Amino acid sequence: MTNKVLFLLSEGLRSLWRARLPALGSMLTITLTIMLFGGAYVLFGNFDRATRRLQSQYRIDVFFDPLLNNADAFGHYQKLKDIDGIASTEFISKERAAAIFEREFGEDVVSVLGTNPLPAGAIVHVARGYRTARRINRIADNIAAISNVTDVAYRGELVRILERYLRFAVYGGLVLGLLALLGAIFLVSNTIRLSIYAKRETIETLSLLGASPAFIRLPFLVEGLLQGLLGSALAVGAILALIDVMNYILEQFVLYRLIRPPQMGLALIIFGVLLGIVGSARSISKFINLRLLENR
Amino acid sequence: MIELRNVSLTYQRGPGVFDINFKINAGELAFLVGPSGAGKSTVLKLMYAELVPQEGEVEINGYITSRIRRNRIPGLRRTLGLVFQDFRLLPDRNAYDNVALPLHIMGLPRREIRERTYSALDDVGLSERVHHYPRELSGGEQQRVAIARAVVKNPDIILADEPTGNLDAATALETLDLLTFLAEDQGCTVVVATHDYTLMTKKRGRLIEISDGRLLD
Repeated sequence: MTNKVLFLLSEGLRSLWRARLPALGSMLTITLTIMLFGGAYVLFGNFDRATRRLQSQYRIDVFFDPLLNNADAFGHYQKLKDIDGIASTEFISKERAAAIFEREFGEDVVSVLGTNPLPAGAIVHVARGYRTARRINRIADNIAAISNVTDVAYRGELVRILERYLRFAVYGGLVLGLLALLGAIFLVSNTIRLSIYAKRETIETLSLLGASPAFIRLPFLVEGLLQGLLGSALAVGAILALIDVMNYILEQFVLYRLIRPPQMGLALIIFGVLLGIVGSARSISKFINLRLLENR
Repeated sequence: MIELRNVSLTYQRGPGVFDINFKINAGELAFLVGPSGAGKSTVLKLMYAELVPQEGEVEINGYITSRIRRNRIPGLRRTLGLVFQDFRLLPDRNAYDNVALPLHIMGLPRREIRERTYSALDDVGLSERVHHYPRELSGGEQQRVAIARAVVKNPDIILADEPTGNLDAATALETLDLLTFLAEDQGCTVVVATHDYTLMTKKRGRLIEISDGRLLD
C-alpha cells in the first residue's frame, strides 16, 4: 500500500515535470491569487489593528455654556450617563479647564484675563462595542442634544476615513482575488486537461492492465495539488518578504510595524492546495470519463 | 477457462460478431484466425471486457462480462496478460518501468516488484536492455517487453491480438515461440488472434477460424 502511494506520488511529480511550462503558468497564477488574498488578509489585520488602537484612545470632549457655573454644568453632566454607548465620563470643572490650558499653553488664563472664561466640560470614553464611526456619531449627536452643551469635539472624521480605506482595500483585494481565483482554477484545470490529453494512450493502457479509476486519476490530482502547494508557498514567501520590506520603509517614518496575521502562512498554503485540487478535479471529472476507463 | 455462449455484437457503424460459441479450457493454446476485419479483435475485446455482448454471455476466469459490475473490471483484467500488435508500451518509461507497471497496479511490495520484473525481462532475453526506452528498441524487442509485461503478473490467461503483426517473419516466429513457451511454463491459457495462417502451422495449438464475424466449422 505504501509502495502504491509512493508510486502514485512519483507519477504525479513525473507528470508535473513533463508539463512543466504550462504547470509554471498555472503555478504563478496561483501565486498571484494567493498574494491578492494574502495581501487583503494582511491589510485587514493591520488596518483593523491600527483603527482599534486609535479608537481605544478615542474620547469625546464636551463643552458646556461658559456662562454656567460648575454646579449647573455638573447638573447637565449627569445627563450624559443616560446615553447608550458610554463607558466612562469625567467632569472637567472651570478650574481644571484652566489648569489644563496652563499645562498645554504655558499661560495662566486667569492672571492674563483677570477672569476664567473657560467653560466647564466633560471627557467621555466610548464603550468598546460602540467604536465605529457611525455609532460614535450617534453618541456625539445625543450629547449635543443635551441642553447647554455648546460644543462636542471628537476625531470622528479620522476614524471614518480609516474605515473607508480599510473597507476599500479589503473589498478591492477580495474582488481582485476572486477574479484571480477563477483564473487560477481555469488555468490549473487547463494544464491538467493538456496533461490528460498528452497521456490519453497511457490512460488507456493502464486501464487495460487492470488499473482502477482511482489509480489512473490520482496522479493528476497529485499534479494539481503540487501546483497549488508550490504556487502558494511562493506566494507566502513573497508576502513575508514584502512585509519585511514595508516594515523597513515604515521604520524610517513612523512608529508602526506591520504584523503577520497569526497562522497566515498555513491558511494560505491550505487555500492554495485546495485551489490546485479543485482545478485538477474539474478536469479529471470532465476528461477522464468512465467510458474511456471501462469501455462500457 | 474461457467460454463464449451465443455471443453477438453489432457495431453502430457496421457488422460485428454473430452467434459465437466456443470454449477454451485452462492451459490450452488456441489460435483465433481469420482475415483482417473478420472479428478476431472484437472477440478478444469481448474477453477482456472492453466490449460487452448485446446477446449471449462471455465467461472468463469465473467472471461473466455482461453481468460484471464496473468496479470489478480492473480485477478481471489483472488476471489477464494482454499483448497487442502495436505493443502499447509507455514511451516515456524504460523497459523495466514498463514491465513493472502491472505489479505497481497490483500494489506489490517494492522488492517483489524488482525481483519479478528482472526475472521477466531475463526470461524474454532482455536483461541487457533493462534501461532502454521503447524508441531505443527494435520492434521484436519491444514486443518482448510487452510479453514480459503480460507474463510478469503470472496471469491465468494471455490474450494476444496480432502479436506478430508488426514483425518480420523470423522475429514473428521467435516472438510466438517465446509467448507459447512462457505460457506453457506458467501453465496459463493462451489465445492468439492472427491473420497469419502460416505462423500457426508451425505451432501445435487449437484452431478457431472466424470470417465475417462468424465461426467457421
